Amino acid sequence: MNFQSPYLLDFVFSSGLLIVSLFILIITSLQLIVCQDLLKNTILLSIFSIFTSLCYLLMDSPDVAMTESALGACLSTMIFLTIIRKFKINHTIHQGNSSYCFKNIFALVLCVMFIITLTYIGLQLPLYGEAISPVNSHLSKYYLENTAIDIGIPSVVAAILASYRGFDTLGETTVILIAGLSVVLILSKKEEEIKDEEV
Amino acid sequence: MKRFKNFPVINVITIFVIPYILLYAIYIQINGEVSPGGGFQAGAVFASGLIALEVIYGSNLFKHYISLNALIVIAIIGVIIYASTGFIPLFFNSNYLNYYTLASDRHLAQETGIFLIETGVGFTVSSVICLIYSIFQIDL
Repeated sequence: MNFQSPYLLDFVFSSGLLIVSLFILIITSLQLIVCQDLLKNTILLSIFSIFTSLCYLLMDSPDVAMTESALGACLSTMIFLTIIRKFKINHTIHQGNSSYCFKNIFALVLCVMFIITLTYIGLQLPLYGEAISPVNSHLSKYYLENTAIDIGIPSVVAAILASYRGFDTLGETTVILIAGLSVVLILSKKEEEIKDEEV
Repeated sequence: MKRFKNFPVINVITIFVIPYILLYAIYIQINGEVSPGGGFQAGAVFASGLIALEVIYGSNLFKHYISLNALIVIAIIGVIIYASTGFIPLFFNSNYLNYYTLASDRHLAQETGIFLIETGVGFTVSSVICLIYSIFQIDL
């Protein structure tokens, strides 16, 4: 099944767009740290999530991009806005006293050391998408070669998720169920408390 | 009660778009084997469509029509569907979750197994997301 991708989606353009998106992500996260208003922070989180899903799409994983934009940009924002409206939370965060400044400086030094260490290690990793790297040589190569023979569906991601690693996906689904039930248990009231409030 | 009754643009556009969002979620679910998608993505998009309906129209969807117990039961049924398609190969003298025993042709058997478990995942994810959203609508 051959189809020609249009010239605009050539790799050079997508790598430029990726760099612009990462730049926007950095600016958004700095604004998130500095901003004092809860409502503004919620919208900034939503913007962060949208650009993250754009980055996932430009790195050739549309499954993850779909999930990130549906859950991060839409659902989390709606739940935060519902909480802010329902509980009538005072929008602004209060400033602390001078010990707040010392914690800030310590956190800044720690973050800068983290950035330097990770950049130094990250420069020694193999190039993104290289065929002879250890990640792409053993298990990924086996799955890419044998999906058409064993399973016969075009989407390798669905084959790995549902067939080769089906048992892990069962555990994942059970964890989602347990998370939902835990939220219900934490936020529910017993019948005696409801009757006490009515009286 | 229409929450956005002073914003006719939002009302008109969303009443036109939300059925297509729900239809697109079912499309992603069914085409999970061919195109990017599957159970997780379809559940997230379906729940997003229902939550958009609830937010914009205030239709009490999760108070009067779909109760909390119904959402919990749908979520549990999703996991049961997944686990049950794993149990079927045990009756055919084979491993747990071995799809080759579900049909005679190898590729058809794999596709059947993957389709069944993805529906289970879709049920669970969409109902858990609706559950987490609707638990905040009940007066705490």
